Amino acid sequence: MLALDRRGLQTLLAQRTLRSLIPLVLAPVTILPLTGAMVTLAVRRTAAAAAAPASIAAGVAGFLGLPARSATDVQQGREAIADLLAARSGVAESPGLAATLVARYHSTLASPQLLFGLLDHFWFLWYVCLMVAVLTAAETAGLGPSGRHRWWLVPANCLPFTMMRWPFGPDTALGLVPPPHLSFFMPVASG
Amino acid sequence: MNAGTFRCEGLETPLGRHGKIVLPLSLVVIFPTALATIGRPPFTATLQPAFAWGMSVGLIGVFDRWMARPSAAVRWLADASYWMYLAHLPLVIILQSYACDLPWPAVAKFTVIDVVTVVVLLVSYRWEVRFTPIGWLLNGPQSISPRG
Repeated sequence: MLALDRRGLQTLLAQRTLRSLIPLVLAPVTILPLTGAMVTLAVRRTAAAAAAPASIAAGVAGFLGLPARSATDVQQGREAIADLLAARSGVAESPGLAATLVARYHSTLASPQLLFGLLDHFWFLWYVCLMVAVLTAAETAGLGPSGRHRWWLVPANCLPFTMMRWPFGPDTALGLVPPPHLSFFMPVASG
Repeated sequence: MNAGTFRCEGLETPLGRHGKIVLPLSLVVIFPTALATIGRPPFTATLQPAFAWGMSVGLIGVFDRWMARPSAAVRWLADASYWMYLAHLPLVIILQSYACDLPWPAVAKFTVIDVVTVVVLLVSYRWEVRFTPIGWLLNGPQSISPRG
């Protein structure tokens, strides 16, 4: 609002495009893939830590009535199974960059994530862009916030809280389509 | 509310004039009550927004009272906070995956992850972001030189 009143609508739009929209557009090729890679790495680490050490597995085998094996045998067996699974599932084969991109494009189009889980923690930037668009439309139509009746916004803010899914605080919406209660909450809290 | 208040009262708004009452009231009374009534819609719908408004108004008052003068350090931290918001998640996730194996109390893990993340991101902002095109994109042209 400060930028709008001091520098005008065009400057506000240019500034929000640079500060919010471009980082949002760049996120799917920068931070979001990095976040996905870190999640994959973290899951692999956790799974590896959760697997019983080979020495324990070798000891437990006797209790289960299985043939006794050394820890080295168990470890070698695990590696052989991993190789076998990788070979049969085709994990080791690389489909090529173009094929991977096309496959990801179509899986994204078919995925409910497009609506509900695409933006990750960049959801707030998306809401900023949406609110700037709404503010621009309102100002152009002469319906921008005047502040005259602003105290009604405090009780009005309670209404969307009856619809929040999270137990404390406002929900976050990770998809492109904002849910109605957040579409009401965000402008009321800001406008 | 924010935009309307600015339109009516500008930056000199007296909105935070009762901050020294509203802030402790929000922290000591409203917040614990809101926590204790989670899952009970009438309380949720009133106490949680009341806490949010109380904290906002109270903090406006605190900053009006004690931090009204512009500060280059605070401005730098405010600029850096946007980069930290954008880039924190991968770092937090990988640190959590390492911390979960440690036999430490949860508070200690939380603190270490927080401190390491903040330090790494502040250092990266200072030397890898602020005086690069990324810094210009996120925070605009910089008036202070890299050696300044």
